[in-house]
Amino acid sequence: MGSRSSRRRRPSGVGLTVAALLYAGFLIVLPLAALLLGVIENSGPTLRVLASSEAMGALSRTIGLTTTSLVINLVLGVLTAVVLVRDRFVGRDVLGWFTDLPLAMSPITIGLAFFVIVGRNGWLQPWLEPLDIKLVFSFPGMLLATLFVTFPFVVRETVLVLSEVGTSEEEAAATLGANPWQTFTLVTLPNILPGIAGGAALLVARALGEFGAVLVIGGAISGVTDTATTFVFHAVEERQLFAAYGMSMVLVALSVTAMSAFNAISGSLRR
Amino acid sequence: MSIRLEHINKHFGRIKVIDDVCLRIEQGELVALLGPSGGGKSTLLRVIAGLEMADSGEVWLGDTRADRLDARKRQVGFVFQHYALFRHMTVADNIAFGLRVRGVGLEERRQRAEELLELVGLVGLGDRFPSQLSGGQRQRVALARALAPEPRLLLLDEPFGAVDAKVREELRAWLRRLHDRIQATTIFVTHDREEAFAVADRVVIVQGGRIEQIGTPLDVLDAPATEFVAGFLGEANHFEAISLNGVLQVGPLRLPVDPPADHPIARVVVRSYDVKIWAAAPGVGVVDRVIPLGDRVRVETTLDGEIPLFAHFPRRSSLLRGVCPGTRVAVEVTHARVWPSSDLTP
Repeated sequence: MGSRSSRRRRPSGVGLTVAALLYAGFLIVLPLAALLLGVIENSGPTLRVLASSEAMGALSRTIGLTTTSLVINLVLGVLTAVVLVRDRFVGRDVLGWFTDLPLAMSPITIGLAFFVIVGRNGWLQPWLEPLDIKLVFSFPGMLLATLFVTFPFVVRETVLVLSEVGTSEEEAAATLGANPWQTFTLVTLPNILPGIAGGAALLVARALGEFGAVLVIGGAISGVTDTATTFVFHAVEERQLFAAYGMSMVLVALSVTAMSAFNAISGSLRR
Repeated sequence: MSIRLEHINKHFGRIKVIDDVCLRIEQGELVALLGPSGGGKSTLLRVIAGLEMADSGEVWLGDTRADRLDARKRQVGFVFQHYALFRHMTVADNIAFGLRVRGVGLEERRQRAEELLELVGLVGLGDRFPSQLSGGQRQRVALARALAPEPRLLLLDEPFGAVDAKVREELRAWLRRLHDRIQATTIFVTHDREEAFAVADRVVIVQGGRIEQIGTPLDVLDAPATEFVAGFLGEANHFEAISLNGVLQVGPLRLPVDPPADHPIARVVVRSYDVKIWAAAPGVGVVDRVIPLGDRVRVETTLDGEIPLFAHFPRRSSLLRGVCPGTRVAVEVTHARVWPSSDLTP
């Protein structure tokens, strides 16, 4: 017994590995397999439902929300991270705390909060109404909610990498005559790209899967503000199981593809 | 380019790191800022480069007042202690960076990078990344990068601190030769007195944010201005001595220097190589330890049973004959430096 355990490389041994694999299998592989089987068994009707205009509309709305949030929050997230790490100002800690807040809030709460602000009797209504801006039950309102929900990811990942790379390369660039923009694009940005890509991966996964906030603010009106996730929700409610399976599989595929792509970028940049 | 610092002050929070520093350095000089860690010398260098702004005082680079000028406009080459090479760029791109941001064309950049690689002895390594180089090689790339835009002034912050002892000695000699060749005014920061003496024309000794002394290596070594300098420039014994009938004494030892005028008590610094010790009964002291340190030997004694004194000898010195722990020894001080004791200054 003693000699056998001494040959092991890790004290945790095989037992722990098996336990981890079983747990992951139960938690992740089993549900995925169930979805996949559901799609395969009903491939005909599933494809038909997915090709419907309602499904395509919901999917394109989700993709639209995701890509727009990605672009906007990439720029604003990196900017915020740079300010948080490199600048010294009163209230920096407070800003950092607020940046993390969306992670701590339930999406449905966030949706509700936006409802209070921009809803029919909301705080901003006196200003929005004359401008004919309608945010509730509309794409811009859902975008606003998605932006809020996905804001922390790029910021957090970029903050980590920024503090890790330090300031000495930026100082070197300055002594060599680089202006702030040159320093940022030629020195800082290449160094923090892995972090940005990592944040983007999380952001895309989150935006694709967002449900609560867009449901409350968008109302999930079929053909108008329905998204891929609310589509699945409706399909389950109406016992249209193959529609639910199909759309879920599409979501999973999109999410996994995007995450692996960004993670691959991040990994290759880290070298 | 000459440099002039006028009454520079700098705080970090409540801590004063530079205290009213004035300094002139002439065109083409190679100067060392020497002092203990945390003494403010790196901060002083960063103030000259524009990486830190002084709270008050003037920085003159040649005829230009530079203390409110951005670092990028000062035309100063800076070599960082930990290289600060751009990790995602090749060695050649690192070296050419200063030219790139000035809009110099690709072909000229490539040519200049080649020249500099040759200058620092790294021909053929232009396509490597910094992570693929040794510490000494990285330091030379950092130097080549700083030199590429032809700075009027070269500043090096603990340039050899992060490489091992053998490489450090090579780099020192190489820096001296390089300076003689390119003739740019150069300031480097070090806490290693040997390094300062081996490389610099003049040494500026900095402690507690103040300049203690400025001079050639021989000046500061032979005529230290303060007790701190005397102690910092070589391992030394520090004593409180009493003046009796015009003779300065430490316990049983008579010192070969005049006591300071009007001060009955003096601070005395005796370098470890300015002491002779030899076995003799009854003697004035007892040997506590004999420690071989390679090419020399450290002998620690106690005088009169209470005053510790140590000395260094060459390994094969005839004086060491019969000296071992417990031996009674005679002691003679051949040189000493004396300052009035500040405790009793009238």
